[in-house]
Amino acid sequence: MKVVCSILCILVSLMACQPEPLDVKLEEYEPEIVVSSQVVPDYLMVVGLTRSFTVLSSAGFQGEGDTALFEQLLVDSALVTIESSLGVDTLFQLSPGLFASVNELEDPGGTYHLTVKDYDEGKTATASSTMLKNIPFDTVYPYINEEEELIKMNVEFTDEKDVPNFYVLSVYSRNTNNGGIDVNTFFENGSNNIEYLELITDKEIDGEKIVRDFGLFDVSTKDSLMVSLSNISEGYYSFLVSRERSGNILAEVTNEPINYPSNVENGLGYFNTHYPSLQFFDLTSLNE
Amino acid sequence: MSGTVTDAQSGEAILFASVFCQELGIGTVTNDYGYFNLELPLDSAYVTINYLGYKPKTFLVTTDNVSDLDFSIEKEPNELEAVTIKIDRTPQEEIHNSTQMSTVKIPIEDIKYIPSIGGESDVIKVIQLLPGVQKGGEGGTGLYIRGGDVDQNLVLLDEAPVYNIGHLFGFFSVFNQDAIKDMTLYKGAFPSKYGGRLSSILDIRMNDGNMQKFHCRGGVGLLSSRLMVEGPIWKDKGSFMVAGRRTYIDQIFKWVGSFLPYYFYDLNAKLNYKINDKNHFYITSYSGDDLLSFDQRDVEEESPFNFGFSLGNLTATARWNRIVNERLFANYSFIYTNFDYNITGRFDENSLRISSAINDYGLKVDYELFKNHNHMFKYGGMAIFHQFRPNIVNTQGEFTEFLESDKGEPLGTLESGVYFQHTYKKDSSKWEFRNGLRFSGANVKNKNYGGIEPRFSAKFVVDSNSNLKFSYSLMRQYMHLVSSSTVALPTDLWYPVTSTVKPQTSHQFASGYSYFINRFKTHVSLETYYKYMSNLTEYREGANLLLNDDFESELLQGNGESYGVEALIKRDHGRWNGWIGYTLSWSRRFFEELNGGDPYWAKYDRRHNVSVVQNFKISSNWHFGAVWVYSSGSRFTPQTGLYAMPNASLTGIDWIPVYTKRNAVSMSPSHRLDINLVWKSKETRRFKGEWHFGAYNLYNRATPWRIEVVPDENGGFKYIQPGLFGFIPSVAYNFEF
Repeated sequence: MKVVCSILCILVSLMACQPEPLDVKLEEYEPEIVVSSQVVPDYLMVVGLTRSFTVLSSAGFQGEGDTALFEQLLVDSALVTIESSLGVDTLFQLSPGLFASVNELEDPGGTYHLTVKDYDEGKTATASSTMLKNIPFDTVYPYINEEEELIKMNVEFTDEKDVPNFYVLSVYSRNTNNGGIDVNTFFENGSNNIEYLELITDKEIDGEKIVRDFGLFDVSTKDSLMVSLSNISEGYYSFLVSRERSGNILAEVTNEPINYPSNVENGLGYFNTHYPSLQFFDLTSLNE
Repeated sequence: MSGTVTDAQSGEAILFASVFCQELGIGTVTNDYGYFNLELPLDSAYVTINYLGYKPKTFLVTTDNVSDLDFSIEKEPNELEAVTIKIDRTPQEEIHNSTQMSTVKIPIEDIKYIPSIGGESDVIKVIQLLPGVQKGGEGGTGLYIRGGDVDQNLVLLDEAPVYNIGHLFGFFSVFNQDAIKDMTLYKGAFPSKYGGRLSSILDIRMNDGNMQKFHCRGGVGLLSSRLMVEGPIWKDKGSFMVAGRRTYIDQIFKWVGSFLPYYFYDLNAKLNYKINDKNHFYITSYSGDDLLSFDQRDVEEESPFNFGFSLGNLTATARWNRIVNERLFANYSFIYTNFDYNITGRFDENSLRISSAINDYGLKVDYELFKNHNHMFKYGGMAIFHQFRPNIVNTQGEFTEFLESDKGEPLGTLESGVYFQHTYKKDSSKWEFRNGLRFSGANVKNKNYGGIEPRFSAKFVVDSNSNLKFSYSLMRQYMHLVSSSTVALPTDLWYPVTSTVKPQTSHQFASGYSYFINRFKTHVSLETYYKYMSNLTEYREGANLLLNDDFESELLQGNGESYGVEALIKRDHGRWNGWIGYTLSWSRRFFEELNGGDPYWAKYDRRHNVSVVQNFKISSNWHFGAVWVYSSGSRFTPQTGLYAMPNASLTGIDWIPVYTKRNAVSMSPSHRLDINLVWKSKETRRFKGEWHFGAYNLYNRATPWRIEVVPDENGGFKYIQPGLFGFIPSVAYNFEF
């Protein structure tokens, strides 16, 4: 009887054919300019430019570590200008896909208008961003919690009153043997690790002191840290929330797919000009 | 004259049977409980009772014998079915003759030869073959009716709401065909007694149980087996019915030394007792669960890991039918429903349990007043207390570090409604009207919602065979389903309106032409509808609903509209019967915070739908059933591009997909042929047996459910649309004795 049942199960499994998938043609995807930006206080403003590409490209995406493809996407020949009340600033090219300005920054409330002319593709993308007020730390310090045997970080800052604010608070680490972190080497000496990232809105705490005390589970006293606090626009906050929400496997499986918001006309990504408050710590000093 | 029409063999009440006086040209139909009242302004008249599959029964009614009449009717012998054209009245004919429109009534007998996956008839899969009803994903039990959403259907089993109608992530419905008597689907023109959902009411009635003799029916299939036993407790006074179904693929795997720790089961039970001619009690219960219990120790000794979930409904209805006097019929029901899920896991000393539940306690009172054959009144009320216990978490060991125990915030909602309905027909007029008004409300967390729900239906008699019909319904809904929008998970949860989440409402207008071809007992209907829906609920893009206590912050409300044309040609009996349905429809959504504020098509907005359902009696031993369906593709949001952005650490890159606008792409049309060949292997006076040989998706055509990118033959990439189910054969044996 067992044999009969086994044969029956196998027979049904075999006969339950998987149907041949149907082909479908979709409207051809048109690549767009992708903008990203970062202000490094008292140092420079960097604009990163790449191009998006169709998933049907013969040079298709080969995985997370596909740096060869990334290099092909860098915009190498472009005129990049930023117009503000201080005038029109033409950015110089640091490297393929990376353009920078070392000119004086706008005062809070001033608006930057970015224009990118991609000579290779003959496309133009524009975006605007307002420089928001820098919010300083009231206090920020790492400490060792002996009871929990854990390095923790305490951060306090005061929200700007009567203004809707959105903040991103982040902590980066790098082992001091790899050179540690400072403002000049942030993009150098290998990868930083992101230890903490929190998006904060003052929706229910307008004008109040905001206090955070959190553990840094993967940090040791051989590391150095950079703590960054940025007052960002609502649009960029939405962009970061979208990235955060779609960044887990459950969301990818169960949720409707989403396109990240963008402030770039005829392009993708986000042009932002937030001015972060930065603090650096060498944790080797905690041993002392 | 008044009374209850019953089956002569079983004593079961027959719903929607016709009671007609040819001489006077007046008639009526039995109500939802088999009761009727007919005013005869003569001292004597002949009256005929008709119902599909039964011998018509004609009485001479006089003032002397009216209180002694027996309204039981006998089933038509099977032998006659193949060779005669019967004159019995069909449920669809009764709908044609009434003001009711946008409604389909299907006795369970009509669907037992319709092919289905696994060889077992499934009432929900049959509903999906009707015009105006879109299925969700392939094989699923999702119902999207006239452009509505899946949570806008009120499914009632003997008046108790059933929250989860699917087993195995929705591939099988929870309704055991042997326990069901019939079902009625209202897509519009809603009678005033119904409320609480925007898009449909599916009213399913269970067998009462045979009052005359013991009877047994069942079936053995590849996936499950079922058995129903019914019989008298006290002949002609009371009866019982018990039905059970269980999948046993887990047991077969276990038997052959393999491992598949999943099964589902259903249990239905009903008791009824007739105290006297005027009072009748019924008690009904349904219980069903999906159970998964994976214990790694079953395959590996001393393993520290196990995982499981259970998900199920429990319903109970206690009902009292009372004939207050010849003109007034009353029904009182007490209803209980429970739906819950539990997820458990253990690893070493660490354990996790997540559960959610909803309990309903309801009371319902309905009156039907038969004033005369020109006026009929229905009125009543209901109150139902919903008790919600979402996301109860219990963790032990190291699990507590990342998931704290939480008792969940219990929440109670009182939903209530009162209604009044008047059906009016003047003898000399071609018009017949049904006007109704319902007032419904809900109270939650000290917030009150409520409003009136006008209902209107009218029939204009064009000639003896054809009618024009018009209707308007306003519906309000005080609950919604908390679910991600792409897949059905066991963690999908019902949740009530709150101070910020407002009730959904809909306005539906419908008009139709109904034609009945008496010679062939075939009903032809053509209907158009327009439905505007307000305060529909969707979730923020990327919303995380699992274990999220703050649903409200993730909810968005917007509007929607749907419109379309539906055609149905339906023949309920005869050697060749079945139906052909066609739907042309549109369904859109308007949410300010979704899709960049642009309108978008609903996920199951399918432009064309065709269904051909045919049963053919080849001979007294052989029967053939076939279903062919064609659907325009459902909507999908495919990935079309990719770009790179600096990652959170600013020293690497993230690859970010680019999608089309929401639901912008209509996938390829799908079509499918299912067949079922029935061989009545043995039929004696005491025993009937029949083999079902079926095939689902006979020509193995894919029904697209998503769009994927795969490498093509030229070294590049291409889009493809995979399907879930191909050709699936089935064999089943059904018996009855």
